[in-house]
Amino acid sequence: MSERLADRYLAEAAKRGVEAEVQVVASHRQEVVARSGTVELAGETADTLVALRLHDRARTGFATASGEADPAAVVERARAVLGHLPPAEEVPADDRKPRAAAAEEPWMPLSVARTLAQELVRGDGGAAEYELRCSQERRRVWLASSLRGASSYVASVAAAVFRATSWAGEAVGHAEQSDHDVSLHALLERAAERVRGPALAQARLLARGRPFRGPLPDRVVVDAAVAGRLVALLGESFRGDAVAEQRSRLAGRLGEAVATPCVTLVDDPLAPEAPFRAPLDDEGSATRRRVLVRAGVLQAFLADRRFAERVPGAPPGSGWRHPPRAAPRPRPCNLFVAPGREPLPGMDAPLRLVQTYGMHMANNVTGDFSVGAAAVVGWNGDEVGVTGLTVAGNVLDLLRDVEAVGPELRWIGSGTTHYGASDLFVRGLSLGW
Amino acid sequence: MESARVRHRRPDLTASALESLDLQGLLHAAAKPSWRHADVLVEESLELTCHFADSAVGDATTAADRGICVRCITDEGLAYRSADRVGPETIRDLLGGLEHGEAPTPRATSPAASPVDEELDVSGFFALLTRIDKAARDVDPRIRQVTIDAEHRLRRATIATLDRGPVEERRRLVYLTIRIVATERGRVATGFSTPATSGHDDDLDEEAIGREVARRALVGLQARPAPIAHLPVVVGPGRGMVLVHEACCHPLEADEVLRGSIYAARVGEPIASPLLSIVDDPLLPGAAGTYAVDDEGTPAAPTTLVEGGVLRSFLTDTVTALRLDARRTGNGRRQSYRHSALPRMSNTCVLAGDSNPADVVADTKRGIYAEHVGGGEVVESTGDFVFRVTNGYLIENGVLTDPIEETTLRGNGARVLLEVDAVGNDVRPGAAKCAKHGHVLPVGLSGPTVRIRSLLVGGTAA
Repeated sequence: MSERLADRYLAEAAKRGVEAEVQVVASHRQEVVARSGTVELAGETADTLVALRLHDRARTGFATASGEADPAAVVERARAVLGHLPPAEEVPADDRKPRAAAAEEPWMPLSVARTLAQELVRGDGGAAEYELRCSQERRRVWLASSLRGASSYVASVAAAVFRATSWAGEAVGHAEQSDHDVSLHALLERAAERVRGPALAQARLLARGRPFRGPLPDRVVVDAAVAGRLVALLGESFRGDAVAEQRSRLAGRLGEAVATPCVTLVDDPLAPEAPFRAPLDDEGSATRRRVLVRAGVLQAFLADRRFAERVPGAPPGSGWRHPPRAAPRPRPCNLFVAPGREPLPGMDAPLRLVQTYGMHMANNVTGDFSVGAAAVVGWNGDEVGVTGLTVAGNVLDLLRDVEAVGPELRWIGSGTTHYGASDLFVRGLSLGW
Repeated sequence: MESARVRHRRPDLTASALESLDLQGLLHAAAKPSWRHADVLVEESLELTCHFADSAVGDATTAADRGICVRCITDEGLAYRSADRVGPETIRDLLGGLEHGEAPTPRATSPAASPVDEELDVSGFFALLTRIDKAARDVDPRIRQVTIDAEHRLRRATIATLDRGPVEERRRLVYLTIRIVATERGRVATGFSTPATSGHDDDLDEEAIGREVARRALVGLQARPAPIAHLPVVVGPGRGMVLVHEACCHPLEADEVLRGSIYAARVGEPIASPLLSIVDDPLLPGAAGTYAVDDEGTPAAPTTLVEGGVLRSFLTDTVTALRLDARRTGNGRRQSYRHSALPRMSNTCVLAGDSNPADVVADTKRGIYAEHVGGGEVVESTGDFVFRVTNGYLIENGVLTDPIEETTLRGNGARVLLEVDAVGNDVRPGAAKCAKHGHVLPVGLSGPTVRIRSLLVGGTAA
């Protein structure tokens, strides 16, 4: 069906004498929300997105539509908008042979997901409450071009977010743990160990938590979940459009040391350990593993077809639609700090940052962040929760303050964009309390 | 020359086919005794989004979307199914599998109409962005970049429930996210603003917007590190009401109340300073979160949340109203037909107080003036929240002195609302995007200058 739909759009474009490329994404998404032993919500969506790219007189125009739309109307609309855009160069799609797509993941029936989710949120008699939000999505992607022919692949992505709330008298502790995978089967199979247990333990610690008491350690451990949020902020500076538009502090610094030698930053849309895997980006370019920072030295940026020529060190292959109905722009797919081989070194008074909130408000131009936070601190052999903190710093400066990278990679994200990190041992953060 | 306007007229055949759908009849035909509520939403939208940089539109996309969502609520919970096809067979198919979780049946599609019978003025929209860019760059040569992510959305929804025949709701929104970069001797600073209107484009004064965001970026070049300290904070009017949105109103959304938010079971109790009165008003003219009917078909009306410091109401959608045995307040909102509704804020309005804003600053010995605020986040179960100050100043002996770098203010909602000790008489509007469980919606803000006795300023200077 996707092939026929794409052909209709190509035919409409040909009638008007313009070159066209079409991406058809047929998606099926299911979600379950369970809380306190019951399933509160279960639902699903099936839809088809048609994304059109037109080339006419050195201009490129875009349009998207749902599967039922009239191709003639959508092509006309894209042409009309295209007429208002300035001419702009772009490179053709990288049509090297794509790497092999992952095998299609088994689909978990909604009824099974409901049952498993319900089990995971049953109370254990303690003063705690659990909530699980889990989802799975399968995308069948078809890319067709009036110049290059067609390709297709299937991708799956699943997520589980577990929230635990614990009470100790009047005090409340809250913790959230997320896990991501290509398979909901895998996620729910390991959820008790991977998200439920850690979330509950953390919520209980924070419910019995207290304000921070000094002295402040000059080095802290940034938990992998928090580090993933920092990687997301960092990713903005590697986008080719940010470099070209002078919104990245890394512009013009290829070959410079921008991080400590223990930091290697990679974007790999087909990383076997990543929760989303795509052999082609949303512009039809074959995706590649890109090392952006190797042992602390800046090596490359991420580009789509429009920014590949404008930005040195940025071949195409990173053009993604985010949100799905926007034009493709340079974005990471699976951006991660390569994990270390050894556990982090021990510390005398370890402070582990386990939660931040407000990271989405950080400044993605300067890299400055200042967020609310909670931590777990080791005192006299016991772990104590600490709430009410603020943590401030600059993510680009922080790259030069990473002293060690832990071995276990964790992921955050959604859709076609995920960020991975292990625990980081860093100095230079400003903590307030 | 291309037409300056992109017209989208629906062919009569499809228009009449859509309008003749007996949505309520289809619901009744499928209804089961276990259903306490059921509804169907048919949504059509047309959106123009573009990215403006280097004084030109870099890319632009039109997005035409149309689909259906059906839902039922039973004692077991809520089930929904949605698809991007519109027609009686699709609705029957979706309703039939509601409680079984079967994948919607793929069907051959046929060309359908454009989604809304209105028009987008493409050239006028692009010209508006160009005027903002020019106004900003004319302020000072240190302005290096002006980027605008702009969206213009038209949306029509028809909603029917088991109890109520179809109601139609039309919305229009222009929302701009403006970032201006200023540089001087290697230092980089940014100005940020998100003007929006659900009314007419004339509501946006592009000259004033461009100049103001440029000024914010230039002030940032002189900023010094923000302190790490508990200090009095004077929050500016308009978008500054993000403070109240985070500290108070998210925990008043009824799904959070059911999860045990800090305000659960406290209706009728004082939760805030007597100076504070807060209303959620979806009827505020031209605001980003304005609508006449919510996304479940409930007529919209202002809801008084806090009156003179006393908690009066929560914000409900259909599910939470049933579970709490409360009235529906018309706050069931969804990002699109692909999502079920959640109780969400519309336009958060803090009512004017008596204080002159200049007097509020003059009466502050040492503190922070949060002139412009970015976003925020709250943990509803604990009430801990943060919000970001993108432009702020130190207050020293009642006078604004040095600008400070971007920072975050942290507090606990339950305490902070009680520590409001001044409310100005200078109500201004603002707009923001609010994300909840990954569902992003435009919301409006309206309110005056407000002072809080103490918040933790999360800076970098000891």
